[in-house]
Amino acid sequence: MNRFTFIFVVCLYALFLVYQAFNTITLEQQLVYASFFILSFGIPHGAIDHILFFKKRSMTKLKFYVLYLGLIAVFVLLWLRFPLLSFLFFLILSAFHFGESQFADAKITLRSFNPLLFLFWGLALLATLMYYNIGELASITAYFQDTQDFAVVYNKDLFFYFFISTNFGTLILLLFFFIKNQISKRRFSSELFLIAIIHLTFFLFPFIIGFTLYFVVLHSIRVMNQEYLFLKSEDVNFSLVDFLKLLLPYSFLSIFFTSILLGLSHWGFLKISIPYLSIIIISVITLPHAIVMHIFYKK
Amino acid sequence: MLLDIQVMRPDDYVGFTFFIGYMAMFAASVFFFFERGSVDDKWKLSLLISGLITGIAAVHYFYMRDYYLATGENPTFFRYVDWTLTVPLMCVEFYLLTRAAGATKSLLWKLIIASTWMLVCGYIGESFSDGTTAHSVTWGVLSTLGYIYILHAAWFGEVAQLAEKSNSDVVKRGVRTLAWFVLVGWAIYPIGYMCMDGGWLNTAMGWGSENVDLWYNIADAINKIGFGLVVYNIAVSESK
Repeated sequence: MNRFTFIFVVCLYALFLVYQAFNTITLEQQLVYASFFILSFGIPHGAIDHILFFKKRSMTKLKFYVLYLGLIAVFVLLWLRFPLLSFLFFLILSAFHFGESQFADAKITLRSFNPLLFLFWGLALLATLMYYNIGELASITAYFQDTQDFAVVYNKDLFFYFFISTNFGTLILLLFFFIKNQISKRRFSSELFLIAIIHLTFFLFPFIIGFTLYFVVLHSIRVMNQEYLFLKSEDVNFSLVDFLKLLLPYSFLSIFFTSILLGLSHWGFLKISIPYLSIIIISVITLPHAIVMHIFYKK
Repeated sequence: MLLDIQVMRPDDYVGFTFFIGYMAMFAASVFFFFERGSVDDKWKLSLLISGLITGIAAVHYFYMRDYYLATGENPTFFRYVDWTLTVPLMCVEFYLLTRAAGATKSLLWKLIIASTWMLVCGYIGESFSDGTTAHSVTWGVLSTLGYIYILHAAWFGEVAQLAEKSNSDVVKRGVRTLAWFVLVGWAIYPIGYMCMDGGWLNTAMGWGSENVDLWYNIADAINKIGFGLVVYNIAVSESK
């Protein structure tokens, strides 16, 4: 168990007690709390992509920003033209990104198998999250007019095979890496424990709460820690306060523009429901972020 | 004798685990006390503590199974008397294992206070309930704080650091295994706690309050006997 899993376990106990107190938390309450935590931790973890990129690669600032924003624009267009395809692409991209951040600190030398492990680990995570909460997801999807097209994805039988195959594949790959001495016995047991606890979380809690808990603690805080340690390794005088100062302006900027878009949807200026718009916003900022982080981890 | 007049149903899993628990704890005590003679002197105290943990539990299980059979109710009073004595003793095991690496008395007392705090708060939450959720949640939160402290100490705090400092790989592995017991084994108890009437697992998942003792009995068997066996394994390995 590492420190992030420890924080996750503590949060899990806290959630148990919250549920003990309230028994149920309405969808609106879930969305409010989840938004708060995702905006507070999720946005900052990708706020310094440009700084990390320029530490690893040389490129003119103009070219970087054109590419970064260009990717976002292309993905927005893709969403408008092919929503279902974009959604599936977003799921696969996120899966890889989650897996890559999970094993970023593992010193795996079998590089050709790395992407497979990252992808399977992330797909298993998303499949587990969706499989345990498929009824809830289907009802949320059916509730809004513009998300109804996604209902085709939430097929129980299809998800069962997806759930089984990705989890089984992940376990096989972990075992393979363990046998090949790529991960230690301690790391192997920690990974198995983490998978078990993720299953428990997604089984017990609603979709939004389960995902937020994973995304904030096991992904965002973990990635921010990796970023902080990297920047500290570049400059020994770099402190946590310096790191927070670095994150804040870009985070506020992102939150500001995200809020404007959500506000436009809320007041009817944008004819897209808030959940659908949220998925689009998250996915289009995930694309360049995942690419930058891939370069960051690779180098 | 109460036992003479009680009928056990074959599907009474709670009663079944009370009997199994009693005999397993008793057998484990005999084992630890006898095996004390086969390890080096420095490990005798650790095995004595292991034997005491299962011994105290065996005596309480003897009372608890009779109480359960006679009344069909949860023997909460006996349960917490047992835990209040045995859980701090488990913390003593952590201290004894890391003593050679420099564990201080203050660590011992911090662990004992945290474990006692955890149990006393749990007891108030479970036994003096006024029927409100606020009561069980408040005491549940307070109890969890004690648990989190011990969990942190075992994985990242003083206990883990002392184990890393020790020259023995066996001790390092042993403390790590005990930390797993605290993480996974001790986590079974809240499942029982939340099966109480009004508890989340009771209302949301439909797990009735009769499951409280089932979970507690399973957890006790794993943690008390398992904990002792890990200590025994370290003692035997280090005595070779």
